[in-house]
Amino acid sequence: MAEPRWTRRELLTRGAGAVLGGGAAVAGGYLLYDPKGDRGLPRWQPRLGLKNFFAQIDLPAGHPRLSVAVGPEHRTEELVRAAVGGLDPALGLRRFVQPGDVVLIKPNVGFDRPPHVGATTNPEVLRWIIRLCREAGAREILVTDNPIESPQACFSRSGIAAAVETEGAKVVLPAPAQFELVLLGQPQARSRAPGTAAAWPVLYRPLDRATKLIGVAPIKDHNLSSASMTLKNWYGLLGGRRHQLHQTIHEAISDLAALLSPTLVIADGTRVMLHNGPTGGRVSDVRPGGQLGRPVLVASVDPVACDAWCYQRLLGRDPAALDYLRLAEQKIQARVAAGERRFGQRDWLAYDRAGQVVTTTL
Amino acid sequence: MPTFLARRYARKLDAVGRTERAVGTFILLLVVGIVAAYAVQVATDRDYLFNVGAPDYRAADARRGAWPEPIEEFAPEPVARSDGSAREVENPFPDPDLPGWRTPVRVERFDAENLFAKIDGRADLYLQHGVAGLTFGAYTHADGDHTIDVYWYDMGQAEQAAAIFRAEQDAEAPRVRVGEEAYQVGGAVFLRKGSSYVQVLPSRLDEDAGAALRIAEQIAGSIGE
Repeated sequence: MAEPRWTRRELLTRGAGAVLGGGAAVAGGYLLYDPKGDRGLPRWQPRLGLKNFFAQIDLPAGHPRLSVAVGPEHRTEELVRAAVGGLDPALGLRRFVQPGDVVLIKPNVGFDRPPHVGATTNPEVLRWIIRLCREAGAREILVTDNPIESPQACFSRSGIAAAVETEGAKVVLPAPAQFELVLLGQPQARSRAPGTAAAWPVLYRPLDRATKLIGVAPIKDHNLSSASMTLKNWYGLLGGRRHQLHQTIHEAISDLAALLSPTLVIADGTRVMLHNGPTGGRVSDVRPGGQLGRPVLVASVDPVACDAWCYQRLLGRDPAALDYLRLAEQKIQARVAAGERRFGQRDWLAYDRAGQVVTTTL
Repeated sequence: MPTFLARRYARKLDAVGRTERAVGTFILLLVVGIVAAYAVQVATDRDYLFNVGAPDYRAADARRGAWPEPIEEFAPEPVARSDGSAREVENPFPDPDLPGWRTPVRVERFDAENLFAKIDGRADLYLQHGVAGLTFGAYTHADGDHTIDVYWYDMGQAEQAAAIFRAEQDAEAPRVRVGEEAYQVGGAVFLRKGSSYVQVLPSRLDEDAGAALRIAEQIAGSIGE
């Protein structure tokens, strides 16, 4: 095929057009090039809050707020079904998880310790919660935590990774791009610059993706906060130099309690660390059910009441003396008064008097 | 056939020269490459949306290096002998001299500033007792299925080691003759000697109790008087 014959005018015109087009493309690429990507974006405006994962739950007024299941060892499935079923005997978890939901489960995978130490969530408990979510029709089940130590070591050694993967759920590992600054603290702290205690990196992306949030926390002694239970569990969603919050740990835990409104929480009392928390190490520090002496699971739509019950009945301590419970109740009740739909009260006995504490003994 | 939008400029394909076709192809490939690069970057940052296989824990560990606190970790380095003639490995953890068990090949060291990166809130208790540092290593069994973790705290002074030993002590646990003071509970051994406070924690409690005790004895023996 013969090359087309161009006139001088056509050659100059086409050549100039090519040069202009190429030059415009190069100039555009140079102007648009951003080596930092999203990480270079100024983060001066933290997110002011997170989704309320309980707001859309249709829970009738008289329904239980706390469901306690007590049972023998090695009957984890029955314990999980009894605890969750106690919140709604007819629907069980289907009251909270609907077909198509993306469920984010937040266990404690904080430490590179085997399950028997009790420093992390019992993988068998997690396994059955995942199974119940799937039975309820969840489209996707995610499991996440930002461990203290290496994620590989923590997820593996705790048995959590194996439990998640055999049940067909998905582990979401922490990565810098998944964190975003969220306001943690009082509204009047909004004027503070980021990097201070008011704006903190939170594992935001999985929270944003999920439609339901379930916290599953072991019950442990803690040398700083006195106890680590369902409210302290949210600490594992923080990034950055979170150890700096140890100085004001009760404020930090209560701020997290106000920030996060889960669909429900499950307190894992199958192995209660009574002493030397949060890391433990001695089997003598751990006892099934703590003071009760038998494995216990507590499911609740009120994390504050759940923690108060566990602090009293499993750890044998006075909830009135636990600062972060008092602060959490104050902060959550302030939000309830402002119109937010959620529960947060320390007085679990009030639920008991109203017949809203269900206990199932296997 | 002229297109609706390019009626004025449309040409027959055979009227497009080789040079023009080559340049056009290059530009098209460039555009495709840019789109693909963007997709890959998005997939990398939001891997939970795109990955179809098992989570990449090693990559997560590598990415976390930019986020949490720095930790000094090392594989024991060879050091020169005094005569410079040969090199030998210096490992703070002694050979357990047990069939199937291997000395830790990866050792982590923490000081008072970053101790929290290993034991989180528990670090405050050790700081109150004057901890100078922590050396951590895991003895592994040849079958790869069980380990014995060793937390070797340098408490700075013997009195401080004794104080933290007492603070965490299980008063009812049976005593064992290791170091200056020790006990064993559920297979785990807790000992103190000099300024050292050592926790030897088997992953299999009763099965590896004997191995944990042997390792504790070896460690205590390696601590100078």
